[in-house]
Amino acid sequence: MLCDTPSIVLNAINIKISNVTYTPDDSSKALSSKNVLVDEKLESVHIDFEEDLRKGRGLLKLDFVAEILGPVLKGLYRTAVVVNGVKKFNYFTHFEPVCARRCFPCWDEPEFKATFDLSIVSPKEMTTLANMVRFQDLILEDLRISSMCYSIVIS
Amino acid sequence: MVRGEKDNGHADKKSCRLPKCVAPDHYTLLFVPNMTDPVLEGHMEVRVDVRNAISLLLTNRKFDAGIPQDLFLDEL
Repeated sequence: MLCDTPSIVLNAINIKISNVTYTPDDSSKALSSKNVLVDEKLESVHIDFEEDLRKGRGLLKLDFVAEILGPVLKGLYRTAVVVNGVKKFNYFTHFEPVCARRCFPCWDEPEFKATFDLSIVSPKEMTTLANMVRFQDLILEDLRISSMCYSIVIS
Repeated sequence: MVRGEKDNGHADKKSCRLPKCVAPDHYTLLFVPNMTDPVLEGHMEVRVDVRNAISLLLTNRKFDAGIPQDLFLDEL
């Protein structure tokens, strides 16, 4: 017996998630989340909606806050360097399974492959790099907004 | 020992599988690192494919902590 899907389950570790909505392609009505339950042991987050999700495609939107880690080579982390007596930080990511879930909520398993497009807002003096080449770099006052090209299908 | 747990109490990543009734198709990510806290503030929009789940009424299996992943079909 098939039934509508009651919730969306993603991987996440130490990530605060808010403002979750799901909008089916065949409807303009955005469904809000009813509960966002964190399962620390299974490193996942269960998002229950105000009504079940029907079969089909749609758009899941959410905001999140993740921790920038120390030099631990997991998720998004930073390392300190001293340049001319001034301490500065480099920021890196390590998403090899199962570390992407420390940076953003995602389906952090190799079989869930998808395309990505990424934009990064950083201080304008910083350089941002990603797997794909950048197609746009905007400077707005003290900020740099770097937008990267669509990725290939990856996981 | 509960599902997804090794003898030593640490999560066994191989058995902590996500249910397959919702799969991602395309992620649009905005990363806004806050260098002073330091945290990463972000916005994510994911195009997803929602599939049906199998009704819980059809099984009498008992699950302890963990995701009942085998209640979902891979492809429907």
